[in-house]
Amino acid sequence: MDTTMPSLHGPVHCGRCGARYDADRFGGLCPACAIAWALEAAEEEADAPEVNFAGHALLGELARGGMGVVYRARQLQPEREVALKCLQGMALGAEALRERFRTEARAMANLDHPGVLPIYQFGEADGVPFFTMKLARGGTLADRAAALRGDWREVARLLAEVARAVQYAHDRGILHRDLKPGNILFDEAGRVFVADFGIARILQETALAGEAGETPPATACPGTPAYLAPEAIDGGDYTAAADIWGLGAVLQELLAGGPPFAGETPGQLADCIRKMDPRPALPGVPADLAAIARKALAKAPEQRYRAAREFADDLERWLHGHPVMARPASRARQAVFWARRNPAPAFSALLVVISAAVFVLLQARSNHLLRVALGESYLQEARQMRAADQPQAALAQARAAAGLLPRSRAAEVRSEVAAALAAPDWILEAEWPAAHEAVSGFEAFSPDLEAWIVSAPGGTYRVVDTRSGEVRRTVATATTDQPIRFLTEGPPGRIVSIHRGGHTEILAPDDTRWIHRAESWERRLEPALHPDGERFVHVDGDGVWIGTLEEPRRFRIVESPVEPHPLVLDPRGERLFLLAGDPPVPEVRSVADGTLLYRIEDYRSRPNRAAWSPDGRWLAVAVAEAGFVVRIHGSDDGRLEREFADHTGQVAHLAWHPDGQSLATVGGDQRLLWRSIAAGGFRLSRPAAARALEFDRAGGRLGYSPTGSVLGLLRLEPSAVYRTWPKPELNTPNSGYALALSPDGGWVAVIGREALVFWDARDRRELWRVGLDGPCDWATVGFAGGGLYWSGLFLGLWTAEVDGAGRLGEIWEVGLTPRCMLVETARDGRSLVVVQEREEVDGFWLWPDGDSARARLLAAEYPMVGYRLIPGAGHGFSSHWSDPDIHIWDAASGQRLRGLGLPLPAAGEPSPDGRWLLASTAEENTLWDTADWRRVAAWPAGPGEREVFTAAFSPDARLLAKGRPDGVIELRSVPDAALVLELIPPGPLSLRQVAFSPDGSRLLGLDTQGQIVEWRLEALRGELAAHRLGW
Amino acid sequence: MFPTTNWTRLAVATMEGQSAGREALAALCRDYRPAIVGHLRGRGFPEAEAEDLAQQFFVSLLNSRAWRRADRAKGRFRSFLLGILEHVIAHRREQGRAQKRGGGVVPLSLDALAEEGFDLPEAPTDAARLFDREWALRMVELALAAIEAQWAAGGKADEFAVLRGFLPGAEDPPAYEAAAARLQLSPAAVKSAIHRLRRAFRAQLRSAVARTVSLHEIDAELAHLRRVLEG
Repeated sequence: MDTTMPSLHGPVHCGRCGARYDADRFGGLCPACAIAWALEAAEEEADAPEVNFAGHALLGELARGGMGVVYRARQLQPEREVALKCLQGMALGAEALRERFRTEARAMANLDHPGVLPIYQFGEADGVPFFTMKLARGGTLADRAAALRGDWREVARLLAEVARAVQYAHDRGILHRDLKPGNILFDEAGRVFVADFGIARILQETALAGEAGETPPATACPGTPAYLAPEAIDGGDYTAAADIWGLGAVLQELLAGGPPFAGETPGQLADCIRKMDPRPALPGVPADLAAIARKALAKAPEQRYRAAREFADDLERWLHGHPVMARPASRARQAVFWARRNPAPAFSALLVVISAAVFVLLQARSNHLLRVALGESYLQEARQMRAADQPQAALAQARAAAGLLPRSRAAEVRSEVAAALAAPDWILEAEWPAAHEAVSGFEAFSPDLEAWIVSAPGGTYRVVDTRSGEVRRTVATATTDQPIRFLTEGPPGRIVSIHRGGHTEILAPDDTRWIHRAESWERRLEPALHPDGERFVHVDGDGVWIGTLEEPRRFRIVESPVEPHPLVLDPRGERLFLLAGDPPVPEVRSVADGTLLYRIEDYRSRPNRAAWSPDGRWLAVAVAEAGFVVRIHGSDDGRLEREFADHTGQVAHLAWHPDGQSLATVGGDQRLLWRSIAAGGFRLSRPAAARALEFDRAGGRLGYSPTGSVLGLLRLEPSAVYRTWPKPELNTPNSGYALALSPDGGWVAVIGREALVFWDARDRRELWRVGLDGPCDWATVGFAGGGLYWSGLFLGLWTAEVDGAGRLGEIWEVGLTPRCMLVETARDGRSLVVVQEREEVDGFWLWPDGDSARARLLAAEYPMVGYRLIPGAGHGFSSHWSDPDIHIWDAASGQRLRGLGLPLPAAGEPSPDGRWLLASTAEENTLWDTADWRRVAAWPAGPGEREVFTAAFSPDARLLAKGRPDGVIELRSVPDAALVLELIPPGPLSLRQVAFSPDGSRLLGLDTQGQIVEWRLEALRGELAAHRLGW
Repeated sequence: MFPTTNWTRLAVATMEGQSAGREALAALCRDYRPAIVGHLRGRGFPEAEAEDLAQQFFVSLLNSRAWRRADRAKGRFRSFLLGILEHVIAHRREQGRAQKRGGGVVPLSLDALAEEGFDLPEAPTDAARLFDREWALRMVELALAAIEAQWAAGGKADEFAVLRGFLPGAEDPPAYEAAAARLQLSPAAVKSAIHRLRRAFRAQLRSAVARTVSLHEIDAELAHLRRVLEG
């Protein structure tokens, strides 16, 4: 390198490449070198994100508050953009603030509701506590307030959604305490989320502390002053009523165009909140809506709505044009009352007659109104039950609503019934009385849940058949004079019993004899049985030993005192969880030599239960510490991955589901909770006694104790109308761009960013997959002429034959260039529509029978983004992302025939018979008769519909399915486009495509992760007809 | 669906193409205005007139339908803008000549351009090279600004000020030890920070280019820009 450097002013020559450049402009950086360098990096992963913090690349700052900062971050595994919130600065030094921060994370992590901003992960890295949550890209309600002005229906709809989310939190004992427009967020699809339970406290914690005679946590100064309820300002208890005030304040702000209360000093503001009416609503705000806000803002808490649910209900009543609770008396009834109070003598008789007539009429009408109101409340109840994961209860409520609501509401009722039917349900398969007997024994299910084993008086065991509840046999122990002290499950199918005198025995439940017996062990011994079936790990005053029944003290692996319980071996018998030290700290040690693998320092109290996940990936630990907590640690290093604080009594049993992704617990609060580890949220929540808990090996059944004196088995019953296909293990975002069904409906092909996956549609089984040549940003797939065709953006067009058994034949590239792409397979089942540059013409080409040599130009306009053939009519249509309208083309001549006159860019879907064309813009959906290009129906587009366009006509063209990004599919009748029902999936889906099976009996949905879901329309239709909800 | 460039793809995904596409274009134009002005200066317009003409160019481009044709320019946004710009320059010169003759000339309509077709005028070779040079410099400038902002957002503006000396350039990079002392870091930590900065810079430069060409054309475009700067 040239060592004589020019000065950094004006033009200089780069010492490396010699290029001349302006040093001032680039501060000494040579632009030519910079570009050369970026070019060299093509080989490397130039855009690989750098890891900045706890497995996240921080991309920018979103917000900064007193104690924390929120970043936009890219999580690396699984890859997604998230909002990462962490404590920082001075706050890191304050343990009280750290605890408060953890409380916030814990509170939010336990809220699994579509209206609550989801928490993905929380933990601590480099000493900084953090959590990640969904990145809400759509701004806050504060940002949108001006745009919402005048759209009072949208305001009411949003606030009702917010209130439902708040109610959900209240139902779980969590108050928000800081509701304001800035804490209400939107994602890019316009979905609304309540965020920042920043000062939420867990009610139960307070209650618990109160019970224990401790001072409850201080309630001083929660929330943002302008939105605080009067009683909270005055230091009273912050209750759910104060959150309802917060909802009212947010609503009032939107109706009034500014904060409801204001003052120049905090004192003035407080006075204003205590004494003044809120800022009045803007002119034009509907009186009933204003009344709802006023009721929520009543100064006396008892005069407000009693629950957030009631506030939401009233808003929905207003949305549906019904009278609201906040302004109950109608003018007609007021008139009648007035007439009764002021009977003018000359007209009194006449007035009485008229009043009576009016009264009778009103009575009849009010009967009708009463029925509708009742039906309405059943329907609301059904929605709440569904949100609370109680499909059976939701179904009962929806059925009740069906009998009360008028025919015009049938679509809503159908949707609710369908949603309830779509959820899998737990059926109580068997239960049998099993009173606790007065022995100091334990009890357990056998691993296959076929037997229940319980110690009985006189030193015996009873083996109970779980199907019949009958005692299969009674087994006497060898030491009947010794009460049984402990019973545990060993390796599959073996029971270990330990007796007060120190005798230990092993029983295989199908045997009637004890297969091992040892008498010389010490009293404190409570062994963990190794999966090899031979060895035990056990503890005595000298440490931890590994031994066998014959030689219990074969090796000592720990030479210091260790707590006797819990002592848990991982599923491979290689690692041991134990408590050591004073006070006891959880440790994980190697079983081979006792080496300390890691110590988990997060515990201030002594854990009472621990369990390894079946795949050994996670370690669940239960502890009573600021509530009753279950912590999930990564088993490699003990890092805290998740924390659940949803029990209000000591956690008594932990049972991992065999999928390793979910954990069931039962606690002293008499609740059984089964939750997903990664996603959070309950799969099951029901009353249960803290006696026993066990999944069978397949995970389809769960043994538990419904009450203290009854044992039972629950069986997972898949829905008859909705199925999710097995999740393809692709682990990349955008694993589902497109889905194609074979003409006979037997096969399904899904193409995504990296692979094409082929399924047997009959048994929902993946048959094979092929990787694409590289990750691509768009891909298409279709069946034609007995083969499968697929293409990826810049990867070309490929085909392969698929035989009758679904086997993949040889793969050929048929595209002429990598820029050639399949658009669709034609309705004739043989031809392809392909977009490519060919013979100097960019455009859409038809390949008859898939033969590129016979390609015929359909349309030469390149900037069209989409071109589809309209079956039978000899027409095609095109659309563009930025050009308004849809254009109709003559498919034979390639001439443009006409436009539809749509004012905005649009996307379209033709019916299979070519008779109808759906055209959708960001604002409106329209249905066209292709015979005379007459618009036959129109309906407004929903909020998220502009983001995703996917629609399909049923094979008989009598139904139109239109998917929404939230996973809901609208079914409409053709051609009147009347809503038949909404298909609401039990879990969230990010829907990319919908497709009918060729016989119309099933409707498939593809989500962006490549997950396929299936609605069984025929079964659903039968179920609905049985409830007189047929269509 | 056949997206070609990064920003059309973005807009296709939203279907609400009109506003999304325009916003993307407005942002692109903000980014590339210095290159346009530089080119106009190089084509002989005095600074004030060049600024004025660039302003007119963007306003009429944004208000016209011509920009919808951008995806026909075979991926290269740069050549598309240059073509339109040459059109505007030719029109302005025509206007100047007409004024001298005492006559008028119809205002330039980019809509007409869009409707009539898209035979963009070729810029004189030297002018095109000048434009491309300005363009290349602008890309580097944008990438540099992006990482500077990125570092500042992470509260590491000071670190950036020290470490930018390690990006390639005319001056010898400072010694690791000196940088480590200034930042109060260990030399190993400085090396790793430099590595991160370099990688981020590379990624930003590629991403700046990716916004103007189809994804598969990035390398070709970079190679072209390098030739322009070296030549």
